[in-house]
Amino acid sequence: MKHELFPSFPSRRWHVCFMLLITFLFSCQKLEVVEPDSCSFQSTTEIIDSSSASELSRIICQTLNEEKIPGIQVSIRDSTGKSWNIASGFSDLDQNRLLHDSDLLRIGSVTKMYTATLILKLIEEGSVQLDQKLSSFFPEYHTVRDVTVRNLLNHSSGIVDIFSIPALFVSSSAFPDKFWNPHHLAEICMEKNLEFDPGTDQSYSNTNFILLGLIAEQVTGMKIHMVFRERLFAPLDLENTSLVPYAPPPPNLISGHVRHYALSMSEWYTFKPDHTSWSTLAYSAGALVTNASELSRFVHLLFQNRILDQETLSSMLDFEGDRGLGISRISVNGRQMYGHEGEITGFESVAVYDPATGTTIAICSNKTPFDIYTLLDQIEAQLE
Amino acid sequence: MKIAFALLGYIMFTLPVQSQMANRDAEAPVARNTISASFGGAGIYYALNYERLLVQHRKIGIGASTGIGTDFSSALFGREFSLPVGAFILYGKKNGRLELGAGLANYFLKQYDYGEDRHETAYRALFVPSIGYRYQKRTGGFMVKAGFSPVINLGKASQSAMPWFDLGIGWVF
Repeated sequence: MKHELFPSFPSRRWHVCFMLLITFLFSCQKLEVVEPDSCSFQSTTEIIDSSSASELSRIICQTLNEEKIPGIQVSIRDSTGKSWNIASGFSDLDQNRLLHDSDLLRIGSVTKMYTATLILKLIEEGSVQLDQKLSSFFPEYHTVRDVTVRNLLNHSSGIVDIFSIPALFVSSSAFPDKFWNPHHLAEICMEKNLEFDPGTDQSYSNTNFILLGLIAEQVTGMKIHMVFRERLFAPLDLENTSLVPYAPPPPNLISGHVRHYALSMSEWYTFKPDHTSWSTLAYSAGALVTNASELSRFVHLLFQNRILDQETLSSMLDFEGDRGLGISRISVNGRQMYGHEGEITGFESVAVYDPATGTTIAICSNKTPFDIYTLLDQIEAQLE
Repeated sequence: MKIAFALLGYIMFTLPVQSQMANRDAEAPVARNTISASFGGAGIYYALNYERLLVQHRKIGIGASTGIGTDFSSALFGREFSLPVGAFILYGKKNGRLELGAGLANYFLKQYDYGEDRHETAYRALFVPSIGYRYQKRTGGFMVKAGFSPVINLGKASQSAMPWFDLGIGWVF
């Protein structure tokens, strides 16, 4: 009798198949294979010969295809400051626009190199001392009173990482337009117990660099994006570098892509230029926007003593383990280089400086996660 | 989000059939009120909920729920909260039943105005469908449930769909 009204009533097995089919159909988005000659914008300079350039182009396109990355920018800069730049792939998953070397990407935690440089400049100016305690900046938070600026810069503060708090991840994912207050973020972490006594251990914490940004605001009386603009970007002519969304998103800022079902119920989660949740969660620990060319230029200028005094730069490279002041020691094909890796939702980047040759390599991509160090190794090997 | 619509379509497609089938089954005395604590669902984080079973006919039960949800850890507690409302359907004759739900999370988001250095409370409506398993005796007592409940933000500037879950424990009376 029951089948008379609904003669085609599906079986339980059919239900399951139906749901699996729908899930599969809506979750797949295919990236077309990228060919080296058809999708790359290269600048021509004398620092890379044509055979090396085409081999580098091949390596990058191979990475794009193997890692399912929409686009990658690479900038290689020699000790004289001359650069070779390449942009391969696409600016988005729709593949209707090629990635240009002038397009802007988020660089995540590579921001920490800039923030550290900014603080060290403020130290040179006398506004901040390296061993100044947080009690002089945030007297109401007793837990962190003995933490110093140096502890923040080399991750020896013991302050909890803001990115380890699940509720903030959930809120950032559910509300892409959420604008976090950096003071609130810092307060959340400063109210928690330290993971260890300051200076006795090291643990990577984004909160350290959020606090450094707040200190920069406090001692200059300016908003953080303006401090960056006035102290670093304008004097160094880094006109495409900015802290977004504190500064308005530039028109050529592209979207980032995360290949992760758990963020968006589909294969790809997109971090659009006008989204604010992830970048305001990062603040001065990871909200910078730039391109590979300007990134390599900043790193080159930093290590060529064009930003900081020699003595200050030496203190930046005073490593405890592999961590200096906002700088990491990174092994590339067994060579010790200085730099930082960055990852923020949808973007992955790295920038390194080889003290032996004076060469800088910067890589920016609009996808995360992927093994950026393997690509870095391959590029460096090609340069040898 | 497309998957959520597909899920809804699936629910709408199969419910009339399930209802027809349930009419043939015997009915039992029913406890209609539930107080529960949950994690996930339309409460987004932790929530305290009240549910009322409005209709119980053979295998099918239809009810409505409301509650208040927030993050009781220090991160968002006291700053952001959700007032979830929803409707649900229970299907099954035994104590373990299929639960299908459609929830609306009336979420009050604390937004920071960076230029003005002040906070404002912004309202966001989140659609939270759910499908899951619920154990509860018809006559009352202990209740536990677990389900899949994606959070769908339909806001113009904040469209997103986040896979999420709904875990609950409560008392039926």
